Amino acid sequence: MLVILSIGLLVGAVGAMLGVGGGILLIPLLTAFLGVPIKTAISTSILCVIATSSAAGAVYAVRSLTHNRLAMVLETATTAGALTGGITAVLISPNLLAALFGFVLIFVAFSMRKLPKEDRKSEPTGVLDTSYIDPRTGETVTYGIRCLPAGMGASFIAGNLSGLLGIGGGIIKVPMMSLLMGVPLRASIATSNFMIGITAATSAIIYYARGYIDPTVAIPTALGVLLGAQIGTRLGGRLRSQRLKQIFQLVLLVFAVVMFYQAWRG
Amino acid sequence: MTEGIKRPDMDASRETQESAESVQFLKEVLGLLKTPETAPETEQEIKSRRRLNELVHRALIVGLALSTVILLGGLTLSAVTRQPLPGRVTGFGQIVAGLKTGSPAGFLSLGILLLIATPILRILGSLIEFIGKRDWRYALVTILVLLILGASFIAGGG
Repeated sequence: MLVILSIGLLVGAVGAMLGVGGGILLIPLLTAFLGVPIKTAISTSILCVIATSSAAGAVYAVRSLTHNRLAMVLETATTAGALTGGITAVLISPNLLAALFGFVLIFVAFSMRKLPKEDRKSEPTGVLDTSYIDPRTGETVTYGIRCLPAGMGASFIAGNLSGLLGIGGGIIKVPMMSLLMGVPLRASIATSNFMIGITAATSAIIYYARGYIDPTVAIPTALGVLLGAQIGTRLGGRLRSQRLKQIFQLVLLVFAVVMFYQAWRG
Repeated sequence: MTEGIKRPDMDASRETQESAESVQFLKEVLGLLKTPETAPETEQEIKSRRRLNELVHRALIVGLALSTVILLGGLTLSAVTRQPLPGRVTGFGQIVAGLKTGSPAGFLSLGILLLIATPILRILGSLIEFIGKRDWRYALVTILVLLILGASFIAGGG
């Protein structure tokens, strides 16, 4: 129990410092070191995703950065994806899930290399125009949405992966909104966070009803992640250190190998 | 110099056209969405949105705090009464029974359910916002999301 709690703490702190969700770290740690069955680990992770989303959402809600209309439109795609993903996860073999997870880890490790430095230029487009006040400059930023259908497709895939593998999917949604759809990065992060919680709730309901949530694992992990995220935020927000990022990428690749090994060993 | 000024404008008009096509496509697909009015929000609308966000903010904190307290309570109960922690959550129906008999399983399951339900508060917040603005189109989209959540409830066999 204390071991699980400390894994949660670690994952929460590292996640908050690097600005990534905990799921991609949590599931390999739980399955490889504690021998937790992968479906239990996935349902544990999805609960932690909800907890961190709600905790972060409490901060974003006051700042009014979230684009509610856009979130709701894309939500129809992510929740539909999560619904099918959750059902699929319950049905398919644990080995296949482990292998899929390995591929996602590799994808994340490589996509981390080129996190967007600059947003695509944000401006009103006549589609879902909205505005917010930049907390740094105090200026009102007005922007509209581009490429909505492509965004809907990507959202469905993000939701599907979230439901299937128990990850938040911010790693897909934030670049999708800021690079493709013309949403400013700050608003992308807040909106993605809003969507993640609801998407995760969709598949969490399925996992709950099917009895995959093990309180002895889920509760210490969730409490640990919540506390760890607080510590991580205090420790220095998003560390932009290149070194730390490289170490993290290496860890992800090692975890990918571990997941492939689990898939092969059965 | 003139080119430098011209180019973004041209890009912008092309982008707008692309987006307009995208919306046309989406309208056909969903039959729900139209380009919403681009008029800036009135002072009062911004104020009411602020108030609502404030409310959602509090609801999220209360939901998180409440589920944490219930979870810790369940853990304490299990330690004090020396009842082992359950390896599975109980069904939706058994929670109330578990709470009545004071079993840790009931508390732990309730805490987890509350945690899952907390993001749904944010959807309800958006729904109130859209209805308040008489923005029926987006109220409908929000209800659609709630319906999908309901479908997952059914898919879970709960």
